[in-house]
Amino acid sequence: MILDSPSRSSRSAPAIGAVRRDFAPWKDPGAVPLIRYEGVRKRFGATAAVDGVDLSVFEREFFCLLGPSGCGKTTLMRMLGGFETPDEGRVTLAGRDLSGVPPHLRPVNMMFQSYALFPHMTVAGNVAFGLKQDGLPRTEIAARVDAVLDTVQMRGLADRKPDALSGGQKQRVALARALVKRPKVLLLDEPLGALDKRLREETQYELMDLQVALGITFLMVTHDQDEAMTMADRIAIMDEGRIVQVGTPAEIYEAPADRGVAAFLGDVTIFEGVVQGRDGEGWTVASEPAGCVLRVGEAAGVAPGTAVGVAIRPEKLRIVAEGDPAPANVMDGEVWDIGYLGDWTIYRVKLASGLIVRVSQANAARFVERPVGWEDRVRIGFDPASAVVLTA
Amino acid sequence: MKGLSRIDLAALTFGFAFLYLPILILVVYSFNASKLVTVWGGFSTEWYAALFRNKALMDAAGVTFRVGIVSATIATILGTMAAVALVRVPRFTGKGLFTGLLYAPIVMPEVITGLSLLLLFVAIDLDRGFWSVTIAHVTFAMCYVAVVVRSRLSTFDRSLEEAAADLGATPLRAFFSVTLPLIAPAVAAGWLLAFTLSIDDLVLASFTSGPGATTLPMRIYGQVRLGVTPEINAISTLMIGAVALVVIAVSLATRPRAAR
Ligand SMILES: Nc1ncnc2c1ncn2[C@@H]1O[C@H](COP(=O)(O)OP(=O)(O)OP(=O)(O)O)[C@@H](O)[C@H]1O
Ligand SMILES: [Mg+2]
Repeated sequence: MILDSPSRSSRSAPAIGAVRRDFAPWKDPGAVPLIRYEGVRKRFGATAAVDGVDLSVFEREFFCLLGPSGCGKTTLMRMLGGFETPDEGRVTLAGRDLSGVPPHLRPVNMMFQSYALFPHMTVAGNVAFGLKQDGLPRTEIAARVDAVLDTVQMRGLADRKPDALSGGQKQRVALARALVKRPKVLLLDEPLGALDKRLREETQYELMDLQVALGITFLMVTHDQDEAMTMADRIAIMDEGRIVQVGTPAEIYEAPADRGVAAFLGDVTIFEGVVQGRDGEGWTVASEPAGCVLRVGEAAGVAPGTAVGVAIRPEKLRIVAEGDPAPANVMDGEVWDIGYLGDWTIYRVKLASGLIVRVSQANAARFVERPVGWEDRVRIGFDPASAVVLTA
Repeated sequence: MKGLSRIDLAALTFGFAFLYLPILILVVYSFNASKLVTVWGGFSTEWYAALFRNKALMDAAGVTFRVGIVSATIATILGTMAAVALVRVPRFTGKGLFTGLLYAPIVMPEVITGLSLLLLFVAIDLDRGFWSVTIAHVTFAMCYVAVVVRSRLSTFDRSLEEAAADLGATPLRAFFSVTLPLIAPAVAAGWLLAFTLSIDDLVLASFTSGPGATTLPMRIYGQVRLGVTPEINAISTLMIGAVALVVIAVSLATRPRAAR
């Protein structure tokens, strides 16, 4: 197999967040998407499970559908597998309209949320099943089954029945079974849901490496934001059957489209306020909860008088020690709560307005000269460029 | 389990005696050396030997056996198909009625089923004999098969079939390589149930049978009217044994897997 895995280390100048790798076909206007949802709708009785979705996924992309439970992620994915038919709109794969194509004729494979391993077949039998349907010669089937079981490190258990496997092992078999047919697209419905935290993280990186190595397009469903952020090239945030925002993890985290996305992905404090006027490159926002006029960076679609939310992430706020140079925005408050997480400490600081602001600090040193304690009066602050101005 | 009180014990004894004493008497007397059915004359297996020399009885046993095998097999195929269709088909208006109609023959008095089948066979001019009895048993038994298979299918994980389809199996192959092996115990139980129903049946057979296709229950019933012979006891004991074996097999086949 030829592996032209894109380099992971290249760096192009000022970009938002961390750049994972040099792979961004969605920025190329000439690129043709591999998967395309066009105005897709699906109702179940009174609920609109998918409510007008337009989405493009490119070849070799690792794409994540992220959203709260019941927002239609599984339904959207099952339409690509052929297990649900859209009421409206269409789904195309490599330019071909998939309407009316039954599941067994679609060049995609799915790893089911419940794994759906055949309990009456061995691990090897499960993996061989798909190849047998294609009528491949026996020797080739055996060779490919062995190879893929090697990849997922399950060769030693090839003769076990699924009942005799642990959750992590089942997950590997399900993955192997979906991969062995070398599909154009691999659909993964919460593939790591049943694993414990440590195994989950390990598997996340394994899956990412595998995806780059095999060059298969991955479409993954999850409701775990860390998982989506870690693994995906791009994420689509879904809510109530609609796509709210599509972007790289960094774009979605650093430039959320609205308050909902900002709050869904990671921690955030939102200072509600009204735009006052220009301030150099940016704007000033009078915020009652903050108890001051905030300076923020450039923002599109605002003018004096616009009601906005100034969103700031905990790690972009800091506690300003006496004598330190103060950032452009400072507020006084009282330490309400301290959560020590080992690598980070989270301070919940209560402002005069009663608003509680979360501030996190990396514990870079083992000992601190002047530790911050409960009920201490502190001064917190952030730079104008760290905040996001939300109009929706 | 707590110890049983005397009343419990008495109730249990009485209940079991009520259920099994008649059968026990029949079994015991089948080994009676005396020709008189009600007088014990010592242990003997001569009636079993006599049985195998009784051509009429043996012929009837053969007919019953063949009708049982053929009708159980056809009923299993049809009943399984009906169950799969009922579980698969998305909800439609009248599905409840349709389901009810499938199960109706279970509660229908057999006399009515028998009579209506007889009328049908006369109307279409079907010769009464082996096939008419077999068809009658199929119509009756397939409902039971459908009930058994349907209850197993209702707990069947549909995502297994979807996985099979996803991996390239046509609906037919998905059914035979994934669904069928997994519901096989219920299908087997359905077959055994259909088989016992068939070999037990007297009413439907009486209505739909013809010359040369006398079943064992018909033959026994006919002979008993002329007086009970130890031979009848012997063949009845064999039937009890056969049915008991089947019932045990069914309960083993449909027993939920032991918790791991
Ligand atoms: N077969 C169905 N019949 C009726 N309603 C359905 C069916 N499948 C899904 N729904 C409904 O459609 C909505 C979206 O379901 P879906 O399974 O796509 O959610 P999801 O985003 O995958 O949620 P989760 O994260 O919990 O898996 C839900 O309200 C669900 O109840
Ligand atoms: Mg789901």
